[in-house]
Amino acid sequence: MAPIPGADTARTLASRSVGAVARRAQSIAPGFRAPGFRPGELDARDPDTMRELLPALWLAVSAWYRPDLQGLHNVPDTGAGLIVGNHSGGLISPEVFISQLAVAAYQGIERPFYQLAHRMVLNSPAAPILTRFGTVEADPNNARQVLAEGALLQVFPGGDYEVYRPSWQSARIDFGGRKGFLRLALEHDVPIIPQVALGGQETALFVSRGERLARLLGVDRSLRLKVLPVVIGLPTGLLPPFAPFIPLPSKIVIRYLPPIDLRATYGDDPDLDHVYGDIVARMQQALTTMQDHRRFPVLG
Amino acid sequence: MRFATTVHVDAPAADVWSVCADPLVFTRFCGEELAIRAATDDEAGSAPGTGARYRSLIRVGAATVGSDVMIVEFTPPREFAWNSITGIDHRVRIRLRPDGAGTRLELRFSYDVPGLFGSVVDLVAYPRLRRILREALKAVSRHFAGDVGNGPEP
Repeated sequence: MAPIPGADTARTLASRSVGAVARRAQSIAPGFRAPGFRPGELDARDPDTMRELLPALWLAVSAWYRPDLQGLHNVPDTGAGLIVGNHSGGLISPEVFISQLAVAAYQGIERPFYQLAHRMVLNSPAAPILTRFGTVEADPNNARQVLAEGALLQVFPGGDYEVYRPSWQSARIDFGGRKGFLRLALEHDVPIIPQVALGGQETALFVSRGERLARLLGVDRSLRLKVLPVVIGLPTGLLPPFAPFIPLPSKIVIRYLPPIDLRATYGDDPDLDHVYGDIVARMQQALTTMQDHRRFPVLG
Repeated sequence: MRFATTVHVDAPAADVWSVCADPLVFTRFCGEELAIRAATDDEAGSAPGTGARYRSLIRVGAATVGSDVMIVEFTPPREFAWNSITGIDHRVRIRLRPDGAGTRLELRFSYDVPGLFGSVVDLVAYPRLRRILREALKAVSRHFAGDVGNGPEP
């Protein structure tokens, strides 16, 4: 049966609408869960399934993306840590899954490692695999629980804002000024491990975030959608907003930088604006270097 | 999947044993694709022996696969073996036997990648793993043959 044009967009918008209603309902009646939603819970992580799936999945992503992982030794073997990454590649975001697999292979599936993701991701077709590998909803309580248990947590502060930046801004770190990850690291006194990825923005042609379009249509208020991205990709060419696509086999390079102890580096009560600027600058410097070494788009 | 690789070393078994049965020394012959380190900082200076634990990191393609391993057999200067505790299931056995005036050094490596496509991954990894360990044994042999250029780092 042929897919209905715009069905994914409609599903996403519907999902957002229900999400907005669900959030309102939760504020009135705590504990309320909208039926059919997968919230993503810490218990869903399943090391036994990871052990079974990891080798074949790694083989598949290696064949498609030819990933190059650098600096994995910078990820602490023990204790809690906050991996902070730049986000790219739209809905597919290849660096998320690749880093999931790479850290699990390097540190072992026994090392608890979770990733915060948008609820939309947790309701996508990939969710059954992602949740077993430790993807949980981007919820402050989940983040606190993960770090309190001494696990690794991966966050992407740029979120949907950064992930849909234009392809010609591929080598730009753009968290959109979001500093919640700094408060989280300070609250739990855990090191930040910067993760810098390159190549995701070459899996399709990302033309615009469509921020003005989102404002014009009012979905920024009604559905809390700050972007309505314009993307050209396979197989349909111009894609409806948030529609999945077949990613080009762009080479993905991921580099982990040395851990940063915020209090040891910036003092007991650091100025968040200064810390934010410094961390982004470190990541930008690494990303620029990686871009300089990249000879061709997609091929790497 | 299992394979064995053998070299002749121009040195007595006791000398070869001192190099091959200490994982922290043997790793110096393994190039960049195989690294072995102490499991914890506390164990970094301890002597190898049955029950000693290490962390092995094998680079296969873009993946660096980490495993905690434990020495399960330690019979100087003849037989050494470790088994993995975490990570990909694998076993290493090193056998030293007299060979004329020198020693025959044999390394057996067996591994078992889990999952539905585990056998496919086994096959894909096989040539690289075999080459990594083959080159390590050759480096040991060259070291005892006096080829300083290929000896371990100080």
